[in-house]
Amino acid sequence: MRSVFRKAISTATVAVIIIIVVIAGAVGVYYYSQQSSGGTKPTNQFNVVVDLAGVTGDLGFNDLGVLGAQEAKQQLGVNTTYVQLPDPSQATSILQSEAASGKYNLIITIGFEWLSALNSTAPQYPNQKFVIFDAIPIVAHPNILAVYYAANESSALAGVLAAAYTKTHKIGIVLGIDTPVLYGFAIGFVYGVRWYENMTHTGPDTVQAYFTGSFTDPSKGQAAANTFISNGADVIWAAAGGTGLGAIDAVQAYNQQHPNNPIWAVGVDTDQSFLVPGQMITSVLKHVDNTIVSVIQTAKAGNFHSGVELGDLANGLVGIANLNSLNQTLAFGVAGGKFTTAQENSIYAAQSALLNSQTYQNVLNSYVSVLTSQITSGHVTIPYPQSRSDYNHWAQVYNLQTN
Amino acid sequence: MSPDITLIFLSILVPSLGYSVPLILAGTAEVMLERSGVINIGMEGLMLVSAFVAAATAYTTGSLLLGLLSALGIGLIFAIIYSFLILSLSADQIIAGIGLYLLGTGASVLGLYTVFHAAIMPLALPQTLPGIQVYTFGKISYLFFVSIAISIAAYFFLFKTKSGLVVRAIGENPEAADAAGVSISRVRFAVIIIDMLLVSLAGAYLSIDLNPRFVQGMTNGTGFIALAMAAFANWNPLLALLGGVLFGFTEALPLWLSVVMGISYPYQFTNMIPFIAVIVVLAGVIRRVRAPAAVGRIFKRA
Repeated sequence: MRSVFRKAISTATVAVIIIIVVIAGAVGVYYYSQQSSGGTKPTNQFNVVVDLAGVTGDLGFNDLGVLGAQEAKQQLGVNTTYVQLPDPSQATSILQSEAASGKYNLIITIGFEWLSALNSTAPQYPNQKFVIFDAIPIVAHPNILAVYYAANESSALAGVLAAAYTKTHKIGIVLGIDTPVLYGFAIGFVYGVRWYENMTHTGPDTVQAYFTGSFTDPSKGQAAANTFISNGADVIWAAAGGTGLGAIDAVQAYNQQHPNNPIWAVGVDTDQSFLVPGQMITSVLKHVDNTIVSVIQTAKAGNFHSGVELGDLANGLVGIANLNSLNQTLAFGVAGGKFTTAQENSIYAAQSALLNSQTYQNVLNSYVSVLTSQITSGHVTIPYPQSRSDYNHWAQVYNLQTN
Repeated sequence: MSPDITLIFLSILVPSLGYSVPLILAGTAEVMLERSGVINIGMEGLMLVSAFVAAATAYTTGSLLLGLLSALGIGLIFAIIYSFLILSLSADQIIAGIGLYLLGTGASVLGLYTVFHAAIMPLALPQTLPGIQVYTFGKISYLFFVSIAISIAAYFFLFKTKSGLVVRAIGENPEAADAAGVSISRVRFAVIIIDMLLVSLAGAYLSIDLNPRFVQGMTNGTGFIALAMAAFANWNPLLALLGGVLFGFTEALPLWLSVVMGISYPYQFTNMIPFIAVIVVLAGVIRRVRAPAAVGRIFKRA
């Protein structure tokens, strides 16, 4: 009896496995045929594929990547398509098949998720041109262009706004894992704070930064923000991915309980003001969409070059949030069905009221624009530490308390 | 005592208790489960998927209670899957546990893309489960007190009741318990259900109580620390309670030292504490600990 039961189960198991394999295979073949059916392009057309860092609908990098691909198509008359990356482990196989197809004049990959795949694929296809954003290959290849964002410059502008908005003269920075990428953010930000103090003879503000050790732990971000707030900080910058969301939640919770005495949040990477409309003075942005257009434009003109290119304030590839970036994020949210129109309107009303206020405009016109022109004209250079000891040095110079 | 010292104390207490809740719940659950001779190394996965389901349900329906209940429902489903695998099919508990971990982790991400079509929840939940707000340090959730009660209840159940004795007997010597007329499968099934319900409660706590949102991978190893804690606690629910608070404290410590006290050191050192503590305890440095004899062993009637 028992063995009959077992036999039935093993037969069932085998059947289930076969069914799963068949379905998976069928789905794979379907997608493959879909992809390749649109593949035969006229050879005189300039074809570009944009490989996203993840899946669309993040109101961030990936949606900006799609937007960039569309804008390039409209403005430059090139043929663009984009590919999502549901799982970083698929990066190599996606990149290999794109390079092997030979139908793209340019392959643009966004984010460090593609770095190791690029390192292994690029040498195999020396005639294929690759671009990677927001990461630098350790070994330079003659067919890879890396676009690295000068986040220290945009962070400095956010620092100016933070210094202008703090009343308690205490500012907290919630950071993720202790990596060089974040050093430029923190040092640039505190540079902006000190710059504002020098201009206005105010302060000195206490600026504290804390590495939480995670990009995925909102509890840690929340605890860090609450501790900063309890210390008297009234501007909290969350530069820590998912951990940072917890810090922004903490600002929102505080403002719900203390509506008469609000504190401010600062966002990162994309315009995050939709999370706390009217309570986020700015976000430190990387303009992925503009970067795509500019890179394609250069390559189409035949001026592709390998090496590292800086996306900075001067070429407009980094910056801080404004009404445009707000509208962009809201458009993504509405298109993806994430906000209702009512939600969109209330977010826009609250955030645009902040951005259009007299105080805000004064800071922008009197200070942010001044520092911007000082940076873009090269009068001011902001350090971007690449090592921990370098970071410690600059933290000491600008009196940034950090762990 | 100056008010400053009270505030400094509260600034470490509130986050410590906040981190400790899932550790206490999952640690207690794992202690009870291992006492019955079953190990569940997949808690992390269940915790993640429960956190997702709780937040997604609360977000779409606007009801935190429904979120909580749906997370418990996921716990029940996982309990049935796990019981079927290890009790009905006599599968290896470690392999099945890894399966649960992968299933839960994957399902949470798949669910995120399916429900929100995005890698993040667009907006936070408008509110979280109630608790006691302590100045600006955050809140002490009512679930903290519930978790204490559950730990104490588990202790009395295991060591002061006849049913608890049966559970422990099964964990030590299932053959003898079987000979005494106890249905091993039935008892283990009941304990697995309790275990999974508590673990899914811990997951829901993370996303609708401590935080107003789900974030990919937001458990950050809590399920594995809880697993280690069962050993650290010498398979005693009261010590699991103590361990939960202690490990919660070590999670909160680096922030407090750095930002409140101005003492900075690499946070990696504190992150190691729970694991070092477990190694120290298991190495027999503090006192002798002994696992239930039948943990992880497949019971087959001769």
